[in-house]
Amino acid sequence: MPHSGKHLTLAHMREEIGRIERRPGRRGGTVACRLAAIDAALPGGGFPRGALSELSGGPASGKTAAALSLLAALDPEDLFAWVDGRGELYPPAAAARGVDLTRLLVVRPLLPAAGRRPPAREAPLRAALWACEALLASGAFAAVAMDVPVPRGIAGADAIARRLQAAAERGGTIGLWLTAPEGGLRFRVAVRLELATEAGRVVARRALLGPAAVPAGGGGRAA
Amino acid sequence: MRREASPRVLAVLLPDLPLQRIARAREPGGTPLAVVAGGRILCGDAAARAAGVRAGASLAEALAACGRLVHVVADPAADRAALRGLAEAMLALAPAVEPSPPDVLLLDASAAHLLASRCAPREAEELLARRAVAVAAEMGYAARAAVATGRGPARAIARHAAGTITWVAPDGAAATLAPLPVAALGLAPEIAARLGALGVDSAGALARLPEGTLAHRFGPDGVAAARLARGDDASPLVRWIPETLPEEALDLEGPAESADPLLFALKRLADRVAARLAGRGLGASRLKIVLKLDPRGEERLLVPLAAATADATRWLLPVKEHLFSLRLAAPVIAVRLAAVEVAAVSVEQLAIGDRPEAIAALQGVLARLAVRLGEGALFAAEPVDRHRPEGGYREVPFTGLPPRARSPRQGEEGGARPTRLLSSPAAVVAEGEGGRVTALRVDGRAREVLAIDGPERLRGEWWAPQGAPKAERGFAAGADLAGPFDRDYYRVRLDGLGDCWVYRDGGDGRLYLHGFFD
Repeated sequence: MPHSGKHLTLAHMREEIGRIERRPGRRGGTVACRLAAIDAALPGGGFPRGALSELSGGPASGKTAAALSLLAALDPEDLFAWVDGRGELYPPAAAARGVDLTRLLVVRPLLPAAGRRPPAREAPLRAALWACEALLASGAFAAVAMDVPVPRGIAGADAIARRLQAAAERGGTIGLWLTAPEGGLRFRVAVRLELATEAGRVVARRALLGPAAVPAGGGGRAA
Repeated sequence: MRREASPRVLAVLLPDLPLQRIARAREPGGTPLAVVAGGRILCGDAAARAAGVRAGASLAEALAACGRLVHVVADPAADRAALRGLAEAMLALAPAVEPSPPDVLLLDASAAHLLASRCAPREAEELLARRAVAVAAEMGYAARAAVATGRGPARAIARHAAGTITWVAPDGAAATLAPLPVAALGLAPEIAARLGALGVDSAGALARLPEGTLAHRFGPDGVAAARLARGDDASPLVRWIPETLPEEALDLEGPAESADPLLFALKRLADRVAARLAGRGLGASRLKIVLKLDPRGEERLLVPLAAATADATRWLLPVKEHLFSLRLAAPVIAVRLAAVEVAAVSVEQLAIGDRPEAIAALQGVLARLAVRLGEGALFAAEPVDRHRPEGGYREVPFTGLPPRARSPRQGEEGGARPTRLLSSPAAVVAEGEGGRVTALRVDGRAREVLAIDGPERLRGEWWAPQGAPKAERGFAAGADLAGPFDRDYYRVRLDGLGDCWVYRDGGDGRLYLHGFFD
């Protein structure tokens, strides 16, 4: 058996990699974002861990501020990620709202660097959704905000929904899915909040949970 | 004048270093191997010796004895580099390490007690010696070690010792050296021959000769050799400081067409590079892998790591992700691994604490994202103190490390800046009556203005030439980030949209929508 040593080493390495890939311990419960209007509308007073929550609203409805408030309210040792499919998140505003930028991973899969090759052989939207799933499932991030402009009628919407749900559950992660009311993919989530501003104040309303994967109509500017 | 006390020294000898260096850089194949210098065999491995290849034989004689013999020409420079590579790893064990070519490393053994504070000095020094031999083994070398007083005695005893570890009491060097031949003291062969002709054929006999006679007949070399034979060597170690980053290479036994054998080879190389970094108190934050293709060409991979570490097991996942995403144009025949970016391994912990599962999970997902999306797609934002809003932060690698100091903007400015900034400000048209703006036309649709707050004047950077540097990536990719600007910003509440960030450009006088207070 001239190669038995090598095979043993390979087996040992696979085992070692398997051990490394095991996810950290999961946590349960909910986390309040400390915005009274939002927390009051959430069952249990906070966003559930290990599940997806949807924040739906117009371009200046307060959904980004709500998501940032949640990140700021997480434990000091927690990391968080923002899949910024639109490339609009303004980090200085996040810092001003108390988010520790050193713990915030920003992922911008839709914006290849100038003069750089586009993301390796990936359709940008698929890459963004894949990144969402990977981050949710990793267990390394306590919360993942996903601002991905998924167009209506995307093929395999049900499968996308199932995969993201399962990933959030597997990683014990708070998944925040940001959508616009008049466009974008909707699917069954644990909590759906519809946000709007009235007289400069954010108003949140818990929406009824619809069927799995409802591609909503509408166009215009989604945010 | 008081003479310096001789230091306690651990000498680590690498027998047949030229052969060991070549053998560790190739996967074991069982083919007899020998090193040749000046047309003669310098040394051969066990298979070669078993086949009748002897050191000192001519190459023709060796090939006649063993037709399958693989012979490699000696490369003293490469041997010295290999010795320095091992010295790097040994830095983890001793406060000073001195490469002593051609095949010895000298370690300062004076701090051995720190390895085992409750042990007797002898046990502590023997432990140091065992650890040094173990480090050499991890790096792919067989070694033997001797602890003695003085550089020269330690080196000579290590070279002629029978066992793997030899310990000599502080006053026992002369007695240990006494039976060794005078050649063991590093004398030139002609001086050793002249001493032999006089009947001085051992270090003990040389030690008994009066120095005056030796100086007269054999010069300073003879005096130095006699002092060495008496165990008298007070010269200090010449501390060596590495100047280059570690790199290790391996020739594969046969062309590899799949990732598994490459991962196997890279695991070996990673252990060696990591050991060298650890010796210097460094961790790699970026690795370079070079795959040599058959028959020509190379594939180069840069592997970023989430945090600087000298723990090779933490390199495995990112390396695996990069390797498995690779489509090779040809089989691989050799692999090289180098640490190209390093950092001092700090006492700072990751923000997620020191939970190994969490760190491993972070490493894994960052590696997967970097491979699939490109490294530039992931970043942490670092605030920059600039008035120009789109230049208000820069992208830095995400490490999960806590900040050294509180970010100046953190917790300040409340909601003065929008949470979303458009990559390209959108022109909007004002509508109004009697000089009062009543609506803004956004995307072709008129939105009633419900409230206006402002202006906040932001202007400056007149010193920079317009259009000089452009943002490389991110929300402002391709946008001018330098040059003068003059803007009056308003927070405008629009019906059906909410609070928007709008500015009037002092240059063209037009209104632009720049962001949303979402």
